[in-house]
Amino acid sequence: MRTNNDNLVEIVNLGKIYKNGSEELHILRGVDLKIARGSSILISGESGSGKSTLLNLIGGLDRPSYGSVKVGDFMVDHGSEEEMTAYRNQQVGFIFQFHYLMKDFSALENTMLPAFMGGEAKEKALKRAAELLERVELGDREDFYPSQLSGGERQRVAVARALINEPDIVLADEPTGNLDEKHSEIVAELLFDLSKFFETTLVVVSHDLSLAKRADRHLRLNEGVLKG
Amino acid sequence: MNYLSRANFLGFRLLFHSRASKKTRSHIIGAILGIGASLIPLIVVIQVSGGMIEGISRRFLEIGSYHVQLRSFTELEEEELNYAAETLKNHPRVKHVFPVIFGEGLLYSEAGKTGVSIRSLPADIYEEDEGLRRYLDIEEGAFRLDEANQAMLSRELADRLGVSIGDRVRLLTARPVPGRAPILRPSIFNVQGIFSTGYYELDSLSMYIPVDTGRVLFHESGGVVLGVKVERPFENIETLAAELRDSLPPFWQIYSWFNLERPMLESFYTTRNLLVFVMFLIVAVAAVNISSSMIMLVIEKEPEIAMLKSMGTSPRLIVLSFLHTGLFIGLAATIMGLALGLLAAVNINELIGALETAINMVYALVSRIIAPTAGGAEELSIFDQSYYLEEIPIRIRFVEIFYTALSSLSLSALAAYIPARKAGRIRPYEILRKH
Ligand SMILES: Nc1ncnc2c1ncn2[C@@H]1O[C@H](COP(=O)(O)OP(=O)(O)OP(=O)(O)O)[C@@H](O)[C@H]1O
Ligand SMILES: [Mg+2]
Repeated sequence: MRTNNDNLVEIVNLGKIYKNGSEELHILRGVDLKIARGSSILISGESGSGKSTLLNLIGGLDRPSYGSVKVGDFMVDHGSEEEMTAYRNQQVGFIFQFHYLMKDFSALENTMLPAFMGGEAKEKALKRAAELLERVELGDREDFYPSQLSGGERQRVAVARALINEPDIVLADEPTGNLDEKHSEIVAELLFDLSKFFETTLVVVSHDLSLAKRADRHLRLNEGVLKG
Repeated sequence: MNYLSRANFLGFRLLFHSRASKKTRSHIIGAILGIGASLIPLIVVIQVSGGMIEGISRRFLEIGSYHVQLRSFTELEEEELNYAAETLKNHPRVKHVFPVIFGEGLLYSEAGKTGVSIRSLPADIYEEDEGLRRYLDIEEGAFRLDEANQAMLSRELADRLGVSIGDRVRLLTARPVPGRAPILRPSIFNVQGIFSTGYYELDSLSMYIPVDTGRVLFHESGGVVLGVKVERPFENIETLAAELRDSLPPFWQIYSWFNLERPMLESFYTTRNLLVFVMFLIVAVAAVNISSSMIMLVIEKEPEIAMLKSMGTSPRLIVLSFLHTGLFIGLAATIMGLALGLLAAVNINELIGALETAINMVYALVSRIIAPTAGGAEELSIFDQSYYLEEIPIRIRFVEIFYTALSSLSLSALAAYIPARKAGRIRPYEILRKH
């Protein structure tokens, strides 16, 4: 679904207000952002600044209070429930901050789920998932359940899962959040390298400034707006 | 197909492979056991009532109403009866035609007296009519009605009058005289045999005498009937009855067993349906447990569901997956309930016997403690044989089992719908924010 436009993501004056009882929390206050297709970007900011919120708006998990988000040709803020489902399945790969994997499913099954849920035949999805697990160097952990994997291994499975549908964009929320330095490096390297390999646009949200050296761009979220 | 297999995969996984908490899991197992247990009485009622109704109807068909009855309200000559009998026998489905004369009287023995209802039957009926032979149990003596003063008494009657084989009984019958008091007429009978049908209403106060004696005693009261036994009495009996009537002169009235026993059958089926309905309600109440245990499961699986949705699983597929989960639960419960219910139904006679023995033992013990001087405790019987068959005939009814299983599965799916819908509505963003 290529367009002439080089920008995969176009965010214009994006705002998000949470209502907490009578109190209004104005988290995003007019974010403008363009992300070039195939590039990688790191967004940092203090805890509570709205990084996850921004990522969720791009991924179509939540709706903005105002402004617009366009990914490819899809107006994320306007999609119907069905369109959003298809969008999340086909165009987006998520790596979450807290809940990485489904605990009732093996590493292999976790990886294949987006493909299988998207309608691919199970055998084929499993085969591709196995290939991806090889790529994240977990070929020998296919049948392990999340509880049997280390934190770094879990995140690598999450990376494989995010990529299985070869999405236009991968949204990673603190992908190295709970890992030690060594494993942070391993996960980060895989994430960035594989995104390059699949020509996937990568948006990473993190406190971890060591990721900045891998990303094409680094922006900071502060007081509801993005700064270079 | 792919859609269903995905729902199946998710539903199965979320339930069985699940690292669901002990509490949720024991709730689900509780729901399975609850529905399974509630199915047992439903199955027992369906199977047992079916067996009882069939057992009772067969007895009535063979001994009471016969398959078809022909009555004439004009007085008939011997030849007319014979002619009708011969004509009926020409029909390919007719097996046996015999005259029966109904009457009433007072029966005396040395020990007492009682009213009796009398059937006058041909002597060879017991040999000829295999259906009658099958359900008429000759407990003492033999079926013998070839001499004018021979009689057969039901067990109930014999006990009431304190008579047994070879004893003599005195029968008082009334002969109606127009415009005057009826003339009473005594006759003496020798008891040849004592029979039982296993069903109280057919047995009580029932006495058989030879048809020729009946003709003499009840000629004026005009109760001559032709009893007919046919092949396959449960098949199109009304059509057959109509065919038989058309082959005879118009003064014959014809009644099928269905016609004659309809009120009784209807009351049986009403009672049965009511019972089945109540038992079904119990299953429905038990199915509510599926709802509550699955709500627990959905709450516990919120992060999983949120993750599935975030990776583009449609709400519809999630609903379907949880419906599958509900069906798995229902299936487990149904298999368990069917197995135990059928086991109980097939052994119902033994179960009732065991229960009676147990109750009687407790009763005897208790009465000995409460009133040690009183005489032996009276035997209690759960199924009072005055109203029921002595032994319930059991034949497994597969169609009914199929419908029972189907309705319990549908109930499970229905009960799963509420939690399934809840799962479908989960908003991933709010869940994924939480630790
Ligand atoms: N559904 C909501 N209702 C009310 N307030 C919310 C909601 N979601 C987020 N917030 C608030 O919005 C602010 C931004 O949250 P967000 O999760 O985007 O921060 P973050 O930058 O990702 O922080 P962290 O680095 O700790 O993950 C927080 O103060 C949070 O409490
Ligand atoms: Mg966050």
